Amino acid sequence: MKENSSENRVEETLSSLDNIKRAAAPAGFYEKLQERMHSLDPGSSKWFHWLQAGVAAMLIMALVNGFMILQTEENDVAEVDDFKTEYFEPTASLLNY
Amino acid sequence: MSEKEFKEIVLTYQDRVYNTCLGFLKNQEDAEDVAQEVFIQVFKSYDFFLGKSETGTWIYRIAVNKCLELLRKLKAGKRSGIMMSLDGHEQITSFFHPGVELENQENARALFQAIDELPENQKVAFTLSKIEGLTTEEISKVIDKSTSSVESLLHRAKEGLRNLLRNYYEREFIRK
Repeated sequence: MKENSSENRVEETLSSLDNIKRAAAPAGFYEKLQERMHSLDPGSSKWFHWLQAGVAAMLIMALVNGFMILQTEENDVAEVDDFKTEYFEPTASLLNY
Repeated sequence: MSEKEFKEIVLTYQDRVYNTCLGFLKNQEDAEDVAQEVFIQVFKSYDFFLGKSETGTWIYRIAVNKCLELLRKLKAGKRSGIMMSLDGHEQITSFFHPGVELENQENARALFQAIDELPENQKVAFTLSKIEGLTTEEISKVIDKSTSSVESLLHRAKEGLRNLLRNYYEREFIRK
């Protein structure tokens, strides 16, 4: 009797999940997930944006500086060449005197 | 992966993933947390997913692995005896699955406790079959085993549960 009752209970318990319905994800699951993903992504935080902007500005300044230095050096070389040609190098016209 | 694609995947699989996690973890907060981790993992590794399996199978696999990872952590904590009470995971015994009919809740509670005692591979096969309603073939794809292996796992799981429940109810009868 006791054994039968226990066996019945076991079978009842085993079949208790037979008609189980799928539990739905909590409301706003996707929104919460998005929030979590944004907080995990360092690219989305404000300080990171400022840091990115700062590094970009410094790079642009370095590039402009480099360009200016190159330009100045080219001008200097051209000026020295002109001076040399005018005063030290014999030209065809001078030799004709 | 574009945001639109990701949203579509989340909306398609969120209930399946959450329900699977709830079946393993028996705690709604943990299930939601792990389900979110599953989708974060999906987002991160989608570009490396070579499409060798179906998207659903791949997502179930991630969900199962994440749940087992947490269960192992919790089990390790339980052994130390401190983390369990601090984390509040002792509430497993009072877990009621929202999808179980009211008149079956008491029996389902005992069954969920018994499932916890099963070896890991039997637990996975039984949970995917009973809670998530996957077919033997679908389970075989998720856990990368043959269908006959899954059938054997399910059979052994049922036998194991039967023994566990028999012992439990016999002890209960003696107590009464």
